[in-house]
Amino acid sequence: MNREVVVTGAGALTPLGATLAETRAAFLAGRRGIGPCRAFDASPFASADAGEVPGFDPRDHFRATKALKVADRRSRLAVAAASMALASAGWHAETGDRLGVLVGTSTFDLQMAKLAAAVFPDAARATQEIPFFAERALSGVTPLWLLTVLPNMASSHVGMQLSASGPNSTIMSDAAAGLQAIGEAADWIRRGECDAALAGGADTIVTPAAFAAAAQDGRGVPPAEGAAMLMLEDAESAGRRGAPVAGRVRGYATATGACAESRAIGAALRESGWTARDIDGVCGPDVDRIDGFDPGARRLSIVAAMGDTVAAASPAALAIALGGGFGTRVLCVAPAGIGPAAALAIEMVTQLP
Amino acid sequence: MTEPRRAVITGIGLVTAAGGDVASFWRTLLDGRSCAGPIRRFDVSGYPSRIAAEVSDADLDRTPLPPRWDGCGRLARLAAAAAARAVEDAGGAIACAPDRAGVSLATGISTWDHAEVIHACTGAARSRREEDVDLRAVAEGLRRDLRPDARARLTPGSIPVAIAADYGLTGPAMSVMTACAGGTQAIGDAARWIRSGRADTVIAGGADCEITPMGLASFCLLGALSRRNDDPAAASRPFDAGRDGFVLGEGAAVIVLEERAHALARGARIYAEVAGFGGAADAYRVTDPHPDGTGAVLAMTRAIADAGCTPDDIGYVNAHGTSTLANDRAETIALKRLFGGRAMRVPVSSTKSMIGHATVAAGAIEAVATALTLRDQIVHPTINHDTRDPECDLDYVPNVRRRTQVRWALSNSFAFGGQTAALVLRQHAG
Amino acid sequence: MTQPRGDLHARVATIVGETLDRHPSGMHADSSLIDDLGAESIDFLDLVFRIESAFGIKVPEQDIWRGSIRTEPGGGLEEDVAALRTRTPGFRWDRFPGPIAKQDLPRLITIRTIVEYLAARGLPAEGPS
Repeated sequence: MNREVVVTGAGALTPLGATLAETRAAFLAGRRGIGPCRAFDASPFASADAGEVPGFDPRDHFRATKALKVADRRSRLAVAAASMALASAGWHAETGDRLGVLVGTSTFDLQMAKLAAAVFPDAARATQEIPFFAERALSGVTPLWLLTVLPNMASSHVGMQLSASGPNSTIMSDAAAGLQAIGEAADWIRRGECDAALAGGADTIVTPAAFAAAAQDGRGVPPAEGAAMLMLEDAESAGRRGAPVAGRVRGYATATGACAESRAIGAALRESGWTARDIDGVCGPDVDRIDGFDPGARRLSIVAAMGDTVAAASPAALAIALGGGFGTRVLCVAPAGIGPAAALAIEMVTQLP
Repeated sequence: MTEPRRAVITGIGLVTAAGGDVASFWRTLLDGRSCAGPIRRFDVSGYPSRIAAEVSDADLDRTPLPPRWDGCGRLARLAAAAAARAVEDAGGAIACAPDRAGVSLATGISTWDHAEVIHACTGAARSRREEDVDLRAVAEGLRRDLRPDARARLTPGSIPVAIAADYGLTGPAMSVMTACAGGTQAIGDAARWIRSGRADTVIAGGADCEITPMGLASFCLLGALSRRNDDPAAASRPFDAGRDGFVLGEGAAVIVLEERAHALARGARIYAEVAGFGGAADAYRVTDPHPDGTGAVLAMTRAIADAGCTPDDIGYVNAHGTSTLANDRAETIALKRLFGGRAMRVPVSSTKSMIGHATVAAGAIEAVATALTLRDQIVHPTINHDTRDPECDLDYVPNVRRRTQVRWALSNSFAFGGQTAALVLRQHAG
Repeated sequence: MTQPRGDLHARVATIVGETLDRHPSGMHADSSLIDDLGAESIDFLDLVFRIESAFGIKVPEQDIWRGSIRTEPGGGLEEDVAALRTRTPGFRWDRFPGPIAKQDLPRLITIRTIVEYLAARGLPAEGPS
């Protein structure tokens, strides 16, 4: 089976806004979503700047709110973005067993405050003496800890809140994870493993440990958080239910090793049947520097406006591009780094509202 | 019309409590030997569950690894060692163009170091209430205590890339994390890459090591672990009436998956075919499996459909079989729904009865056991099966291995969070 | 019906409400946490942790009804269930037409049984929270 896959909806929460519409408007207006970190006092670091999602209430998006106690920030963002993507696609199926979920993310949040409280009054002793640590942890850490830390819970929460019982997975390939999620989910649909999927990235490195790790490399890109999820569907099913078709997935590739980014781009282009000259829009966290495209091709780079949203970055850039005015043959790129590179070629059809 | 592409296993690499090579591993399982014992890695006197199936450090360390793995944590080295053993088992090199070869790996989150992280908490708390913790002090502690390259060390997604670099592979690389379903998912994803033409060879599998101070604590806090500390070998007893939770395991299993025609053309030794994969989500509750086994039935049904066979073709099931009350009951229900009237005649066994629950690695280790079952036409037992539970009344191959005719086999994995995954493996004929 | 043990009841209702994300005023003292309020297995682990933290006590596993109900068939279970029946007409006893088995006991856990358990452990009924 080799079905055509289309994009019928998108949702996003980024440092530029708690909805895709707000994000897009702020981005086009040249606004920047960076400011002093609000989640915690980050003044010990050379820069306390962070990109954080403004004004977001997870209760607006969780149907069963009891799950919030095991939903960390990343899971909450994932559910919100997926929920908005589903709504924008106008999906109202009775059963969700043909609806898959694939979330890309890069980190896990150890919930340092819970650990620090539990080992009080002697963290140093808890470091060395494991029986002491055990007594402290077993009496002082909530049993819900592991369930909140597990990164696959982002996909689980999306499935539970949106009644999606199709294939469900979580990718953790660092910055490329969100774009890989979209490409892999498109393959699920293409091969008939499901008819629709919520796919994209949800990530936060605005937690003490991730912030500290990011601060080590002195790149100067503020840590950030965000989520961007697309609704992908089999073109025929989408047509039958009269869904809005924002784009057609034409090609996808992921690669590692030397020149991973250019090989991923080359392979995605080959799959799409396009050449580099055909591309009239390139989007991603930081694509201004990528050579090989027509000089007239538009560039949409989001890292300066949002900070480092890691796995959410490429999907967020793509979601903005799907709003139109950006070209009809678009390439989305996730650069290699700690993880692999990925590229996705999309033919824009109708702009998403 | 071209033949459809198929994915076959041409190499197996193992770092497990049952052994670090195929022969020892398989002998241990066929002999029905438990690999559980008191935890030796650190002082567990403070824990209610003090047993596990640990990997021997000597075995892990016997595989030389390139310098990029120096200073990496145990999880990364488990993955790298298993990958090295798999490649060696497949003939010593990847036999296709580098850009046609990739890595699909499931890894756990135990990339962080206890001492590093807990020490960073020094002085940050003013009471045992979370609200009284000074997060600025935590941030300062982390800034001070996190060793260099923290981002690369902590990020699971760095591991598949590093393994690809070990062999000069430049094709697709991906890290998946679906907890206890991860190893199964990663192999399913690899098979899809091969069958859809994205790759000709994929190094695929899973690695995890939750036998750590906080790993053990987190499972104790969930009440998920057996407390049969006085008799570790008898503690993991899937489907038995006396089961009281799972025994933690650890390790890594990596396979070399190749496109079948390509493997045949080079005369590779083929263990079995990965014929189908299916995934689903219960979408029900956070930990309680759906009482009707809905997510499990969906995954198994999809895997069977993907393989192009039917439930009647399945001759063996390698169960998730964790030895928890909830899983074993729900999995039994799901298997009955899948097989209908035939359910009582399909042998079902649990590798976890002998090697415990290696969490993210489990699905990959169990895929290997399933492949060896197909190769040798022998099913390993579910050990410690002494007292029948009326709710678990299938044929679990109690205690003793059995010769059987099996052409298609199913391997199940179900995760905290509700993800379910299943592989269908097919006997390689000839 | 008078609410038992005033302040302790209010504290327990608040804790159960936080555990299940429900408002205390929306929960009856005799609502089954499982059958009426949607509690699942991790919620009991969560609840015990919150009770231990709030009251500074240790609660042996799944013990939160002890003091009201003994758990062994033939060892007091039937008598304690009968006594509980008579003093909690607000509980949905119609769900249990036959004898209560040991595995049914978690379904009998209500705010009232938790309060009785804590009171039997000597926790203050009145006083500042």
